Amino acid sequence: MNHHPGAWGQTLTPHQRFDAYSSSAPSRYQPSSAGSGVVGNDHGMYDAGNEAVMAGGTGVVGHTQQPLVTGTSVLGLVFDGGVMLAADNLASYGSLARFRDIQRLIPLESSKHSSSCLAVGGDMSDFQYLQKQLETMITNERTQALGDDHPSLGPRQIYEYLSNLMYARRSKMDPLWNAMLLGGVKDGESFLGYVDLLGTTYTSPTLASGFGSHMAQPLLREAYESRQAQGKSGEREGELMSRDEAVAVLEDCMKVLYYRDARSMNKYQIATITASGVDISASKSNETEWKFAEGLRGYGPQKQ
Amino acid sequence: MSSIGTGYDLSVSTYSPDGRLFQVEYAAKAAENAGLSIGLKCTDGIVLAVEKIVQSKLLVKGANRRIMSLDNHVGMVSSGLLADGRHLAKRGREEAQSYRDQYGAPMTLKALIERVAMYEHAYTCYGSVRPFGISTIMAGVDKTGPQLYVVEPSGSYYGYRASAVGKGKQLAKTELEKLDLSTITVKQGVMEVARIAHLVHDDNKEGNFELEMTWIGPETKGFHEHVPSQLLQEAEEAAKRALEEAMEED
Amino acid sequence: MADMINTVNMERLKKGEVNLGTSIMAVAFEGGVVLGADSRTTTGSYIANRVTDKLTHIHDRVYCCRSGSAADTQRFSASAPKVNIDGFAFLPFGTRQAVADIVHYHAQFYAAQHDSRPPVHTIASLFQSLCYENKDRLSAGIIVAGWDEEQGGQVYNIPLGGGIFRQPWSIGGSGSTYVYGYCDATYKEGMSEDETVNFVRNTLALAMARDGSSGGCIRMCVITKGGVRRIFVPGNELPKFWEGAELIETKRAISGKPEMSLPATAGEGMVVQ
Repeated sequence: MNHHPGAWGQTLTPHQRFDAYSSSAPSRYQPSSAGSGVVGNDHGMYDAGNEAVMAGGTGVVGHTQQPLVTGTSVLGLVFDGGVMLAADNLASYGSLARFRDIQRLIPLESSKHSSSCLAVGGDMSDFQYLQKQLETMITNERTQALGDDHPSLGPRQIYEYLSNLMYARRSKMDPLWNAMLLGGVKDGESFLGYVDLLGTTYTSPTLASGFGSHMAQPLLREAYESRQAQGKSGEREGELMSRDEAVAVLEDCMKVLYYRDARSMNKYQIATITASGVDISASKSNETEWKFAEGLRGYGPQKQ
Repeated sequence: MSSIGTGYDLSVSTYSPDGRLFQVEYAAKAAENAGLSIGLKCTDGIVLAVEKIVQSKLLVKGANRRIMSLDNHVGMVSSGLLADGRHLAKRGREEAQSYRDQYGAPMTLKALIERVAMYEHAYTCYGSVRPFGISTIMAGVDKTGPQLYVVEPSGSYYGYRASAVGKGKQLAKTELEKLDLSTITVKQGVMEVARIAHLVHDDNKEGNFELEMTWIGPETKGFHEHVPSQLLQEAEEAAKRALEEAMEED
Repeated sequence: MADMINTVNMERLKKGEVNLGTSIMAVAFEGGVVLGADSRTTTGSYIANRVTDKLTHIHDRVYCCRSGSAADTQRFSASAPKVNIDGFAFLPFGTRQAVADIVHYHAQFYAAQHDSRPPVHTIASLFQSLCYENKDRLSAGIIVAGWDEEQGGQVYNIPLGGGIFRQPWSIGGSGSTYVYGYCDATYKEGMSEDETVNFVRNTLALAMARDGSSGGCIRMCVITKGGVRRIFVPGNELPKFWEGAELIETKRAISGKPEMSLPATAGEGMVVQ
């Protein structure tokens, strides 16, 4: 079998597909060579479409699937007083903008001690499964909360659960095809973390998944760091962005992503998580600029 | 008492010649002699309360909570053997969750009480087990509005607008009957339930008690939660004042 | 990618298995819902059935329409995995109908236990869990639609991966990709029952005209509080839209007037064209 990176995600001929060291008997049937071919990897995520091809027809359960109905990047940002998350309202089906009114921000819990919210990209059926799992866990905790001194859930606990779940699934070679951000506030402390289909986790005051990690993260960091630097030179050291500043930088990032991410849409929501709960905005759109292109002609010397 | 049972009360799977199941009746006795539980169905939610006799001064105040949740929108309280109540609640939670998993929607009280009652009933059919020594009030708010049910150790259940189980239930029920249950709100309900609990309780006979109260209403956004301690305190103080005034009138 | 999903991969079908390239649709309106489907079933490019009924009864006020195909039945029977719900093991199934049968069974069970009809959402959830849990074996896109006391007319779309999405209108099957634009341009909130029926009829006719895997007749169901009403549009009475330009006269006339007439005699001078 060819393990060269250049061969990753390529469909194989039956000859290439034959694995002399395979522990399972070769199939009597010829699995499709074109069927589960490579899907455009729009989400900055590992593509194992090829494994599905190889598992097909061998009698081995082919777990590894491919994302079908997908949401694109999500953004997150810590500001003065909490965390903000942003995601657009699109669920794509390949390049078809299939569902244009879905919400990818889900408020998870909100009590007087803590609030958490999740922003999800990737496969939407896996997202709905995850949502159910989290709700089951949170409901289960809540039903016990009437008892004596039951420790209450917070964003860090939910993040830990989520990370374990994602890592356990990737270890079964059956990942949940998502990349997501969890934002929350507990006892005045903000939390923002990233988890994806590989079980990879990291936390940072600014985060973005997929296309956003290439295009929005630098903008978010710049805004975050310049505010911190301002704080240092001034009186208030390590100052965070205000609510309005945070909304402004997120709007800017969503606009850039709309310009450059072919799986994005100019209709999105922002979740604001503070000590007083999770507030999810109505859908909104950004003003966009195209006027400058009116005078463009051809690709070089053309004048008319 | 010597005639009771006469050999027909050794197993729950044996009827007496006049068609009674003594073990089930004894189980009901266990429930009747325990601290009073009250449930009230209001126009905008439900209220549950339990009278906890303070067994020892060494117990931490407010500890040993008795009212339980079966799901976000369902509360339960029982009078009788505490461990039986906890076991039933565990079963109720499992039923509520499996329903959610299967149908993708919260369980209605009607469906939940049916399942829980069936479970209790199963413990009246086999010689190897004993019936639950509890009377249980289960209440919640589902898509059909506020609902309240009572399950007995026999596994029979009825829906009520308000009910009480445990010691002093007759007096409590008489008081509940005086309320205008077609217009009462949870806020008013909290006050009335506190008053009734204090009225029914006899300090001289039973010693001190703590009142634990939960509710589901507009204030809790459909979740089953403790009545805020400040409101509970107000309700109890008002209850005590009302009692004193009534005593002076007598 | 969309192309890969929407065109049925014949290699994945069992040899000779009938396939359901299709056009299906459901639209909710005030007081109910309209479902519609074409009637063509093909084996390769041969039309195995031109009058298929693709609207499947699930319960009193809920129907579904399905698209896609029962996935790899070879793998299905070779490794013999079973769809197991609540201890009821169903034998490996060769057709999508099995999914509808299982949900139909659950719907009846629900009705018996609750003494009331299952809500549309509940039925859609049952479809969703079957599709999600067997996503590696099923390639069925399902539209569930119906009416219930709680939420009136509802449409749920359960696309390939097994997600669930409630929509005011939904289209599916290979034919749907040609008519997304038409639906976006035509659908309006608050349409009457008649307007909704017309919208479904026109959309399906357009999809069937462009999609070779769809065609035949249009079958519709109107589900309201009062019951289910069937509407049938025969293949020769489909609404007509633009069907291509008239052929150019000269191409049609094989033995007509010659395009250029030669001078009859040399003496009459040249004819200037």
